[in-house]
Amino acid sequence: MRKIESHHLEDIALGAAVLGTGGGGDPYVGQLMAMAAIEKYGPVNLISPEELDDEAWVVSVGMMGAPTVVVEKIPGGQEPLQAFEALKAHTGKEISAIFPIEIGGINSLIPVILAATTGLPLVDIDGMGRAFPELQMVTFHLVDIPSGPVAMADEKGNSVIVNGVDSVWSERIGRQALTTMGGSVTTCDYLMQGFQLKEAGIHHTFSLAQRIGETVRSLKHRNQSPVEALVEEVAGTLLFTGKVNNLLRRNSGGFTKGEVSLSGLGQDQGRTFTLYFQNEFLVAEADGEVVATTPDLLTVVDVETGVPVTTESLRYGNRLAVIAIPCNEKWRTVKGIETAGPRYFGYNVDYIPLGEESKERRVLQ
Amino acid sequence: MRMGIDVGSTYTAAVIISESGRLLGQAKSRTTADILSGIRTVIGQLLEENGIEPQQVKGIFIGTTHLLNVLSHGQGIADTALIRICKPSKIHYGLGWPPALLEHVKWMEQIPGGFDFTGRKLSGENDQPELDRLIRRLVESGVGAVAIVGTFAPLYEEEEQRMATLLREALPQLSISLSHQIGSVGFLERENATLINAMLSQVMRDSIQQLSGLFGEAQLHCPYWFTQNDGSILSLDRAAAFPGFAVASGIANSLRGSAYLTGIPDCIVVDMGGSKTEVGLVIGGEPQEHIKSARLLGIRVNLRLPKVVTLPFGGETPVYIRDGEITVGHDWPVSGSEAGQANPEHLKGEPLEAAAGSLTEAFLRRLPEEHPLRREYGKPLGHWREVDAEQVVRRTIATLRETIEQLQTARDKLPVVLVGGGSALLKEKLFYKYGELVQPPAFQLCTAVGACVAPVGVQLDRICWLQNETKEAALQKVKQEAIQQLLQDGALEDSISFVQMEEIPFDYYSGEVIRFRIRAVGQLKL
Repeated sequence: MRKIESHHLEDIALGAAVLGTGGGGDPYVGQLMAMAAIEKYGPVNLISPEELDDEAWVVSVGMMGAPTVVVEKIPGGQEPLQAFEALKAHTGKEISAIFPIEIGGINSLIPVILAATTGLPLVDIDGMGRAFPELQMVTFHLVDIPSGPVAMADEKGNSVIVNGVDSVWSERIGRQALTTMGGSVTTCDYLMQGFQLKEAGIHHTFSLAQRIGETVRSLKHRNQSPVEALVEEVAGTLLFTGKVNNLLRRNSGGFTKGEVSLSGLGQDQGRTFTLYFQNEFLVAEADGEVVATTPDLLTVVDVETGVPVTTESLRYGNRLAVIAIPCNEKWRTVKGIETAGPRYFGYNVDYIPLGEESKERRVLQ
Repeated sequence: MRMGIDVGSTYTAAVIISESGRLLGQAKSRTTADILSGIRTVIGQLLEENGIEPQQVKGIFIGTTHLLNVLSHGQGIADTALIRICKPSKIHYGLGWPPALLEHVKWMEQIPGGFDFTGRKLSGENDQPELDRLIRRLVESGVGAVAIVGTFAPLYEEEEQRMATLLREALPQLSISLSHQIGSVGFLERENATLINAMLSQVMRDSIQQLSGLFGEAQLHCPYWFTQNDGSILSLDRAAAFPGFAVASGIANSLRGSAYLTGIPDCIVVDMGGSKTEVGLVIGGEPQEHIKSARLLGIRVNLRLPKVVTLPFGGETPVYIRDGEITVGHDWPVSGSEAGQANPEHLKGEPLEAAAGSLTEAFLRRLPEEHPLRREYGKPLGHWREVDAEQVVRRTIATLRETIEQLQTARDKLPVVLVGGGSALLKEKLFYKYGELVQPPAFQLCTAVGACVAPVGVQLDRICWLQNETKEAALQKVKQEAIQQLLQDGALEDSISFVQMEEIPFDYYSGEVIRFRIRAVGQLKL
């Protein structure tokens, strides 16, 4: 167990933005709320999954909604506790720890608020190892742990309990409630026991986010390019360095779909690269050939600073580096790929696991 | 002809440029505490020494770091109140602000109201007693400015407008800043930007009044403009209402001026002044902006600011040597930070022992006595030991190289342009291993030149509901709005071009809402 204090949050937010792979929402609002909560209630105890009792009940908390709405609708501050209390009252369970549903983006920090407010420990684990847009895109779903009952709370004080027959239904019904509640809500869900979380979750990702943040922030003091240091820290692959020369976005079924083309710089001079994104970057193509896809992580950073760039903040002329990070093994299963592979998002390509693809390429060369 | 004026932290410079772009005259003088007398001196010199009649000047363009210095030093900041129109929130205002600056935000009230995303109002009309109480509080607390921030105001501005109308009627002297006119979605960043704008409102109002008087005295009856954060011009009306748009005008002009003077459209600019050094990036002749939310003095704002690294030393920064330990200025950070964070704090609270000399003197000490730069300097260099001077130079150069590296797109090898009064000595030392190192002839006047060649610019960030119109029609409307504003600001119609056009759909809502971000520029008709 160790303490998470206010001054750790900036690194965690930065690391969570890297693992957010272009989506997951801007962690800044979450960071501010978490800072305020820690100032008021004191530091949060972060426990390793091994320290969690097998029988203990644990729950995740996070925000759901359009990133643009999340940054505009100023949270009241009491929503996480309100959702938590609603779920507790509904289920009658004694809950003894909190965990983040995803480590990418703002949802890495909302659990810090609830942990500070309730005094419960935070577990160093999550259900994605990255960010994904839908409620059932978690490793818990892969072993049939349902999301429901889902408690939702808004800044007006409304709360709703959704009892979907499975996670997909909870997602469908939840989306409707979300729209009525003003486009963003705080949710409390995936109530389960310690042994389930340990088995189904991705371990030590909260600490990973913090380490990534430290790496990017401390680059200034080292004799290494920001991008190189980041690639080393996440054991990733630098796929491409280039400049945005085309950017297309369209709205389809409530999600932004888009593609961004880069023309190569330096070593990649003369090459072209395309990234397809929805909330997150999902498919990468170099010179017309697919080189990496979801569920592996595709993260895009500013060449100069190593600071991650979200799909919303892409602009023509940006100079970017694209880094691929292998996803957790849990995603590389048949059900994992079905749930969060490129075809689920409507791309007509097969998933090529990151390491294997590069092996194949080496043989070809 | 055009006159460009740059009021920097250490020097005030002015230039005259012909219609064909030729540099006809220049003048430079120390920036004075009152700002104005320094400007008076350079204008007098400029006109007199070059035999220019005031009526030959068709327009004056002013860029300055003064507003940024006001924010760092606190002098002249208006005491400001914050009114949020929203569901009351427990989130504090001013998170991450420098405490000294935050002291000028006197109080905050959360008035129930605001809109949700769909335009549904979150509460009914406010009752009159409540508003009367608010007005009484504004009067009694004696604040000079107020920032009004409503949720979703960039989409639905009525409540901010209504509040402004009420307050204006009751308190005509109050400076009112409305968030929807300053930034787009992102409540806290917009709140920060609106507060900063409100805090600078009185300084700006006074400056305009004084400058108008000064130009009148000098028989300069032509129009004049400020320049803004992207290096385009800002009319007086807009400058008075939106001083926040001019906080980074100094460096934006320097970046534009560097590209203009060297003819190099893509470059890294090192601008070393008297008390600070700024390093920024120019692409296609335009100052590069922050990709993500920008920071000003460490504060997240959704203003569009040039991406610049500021180092807290310039040519005149004092160097202290104590037991062989060298301190440049107040401290020596390994690396810089975002726009404006470094400021000449070391000039206040000066250490007790005398400085060995300035940074410039350390550089000069390393040159042979007969070197022209050393003879030009004309003053004694102080008692430097050769080894100390060498170490100061080495460290300065190392920090600069590191900063350039940060901005240099790893393998792109952009040329480096050296400008600013303090940069004279750098050219000899800053051997740059990746690309060309250029110092234009008028390097000391680059910022004033950049102000002179500033285009008329407009940046619009609009969110449109697509219920009764097509996307194309909505975009056309926004483009028209941009063109109208450019024409109104004096752009030549034929010269207008859209330099940036972006559409950002909203997630989770199917095709009903779209956000357009547009930037257009045009040449100023004089």
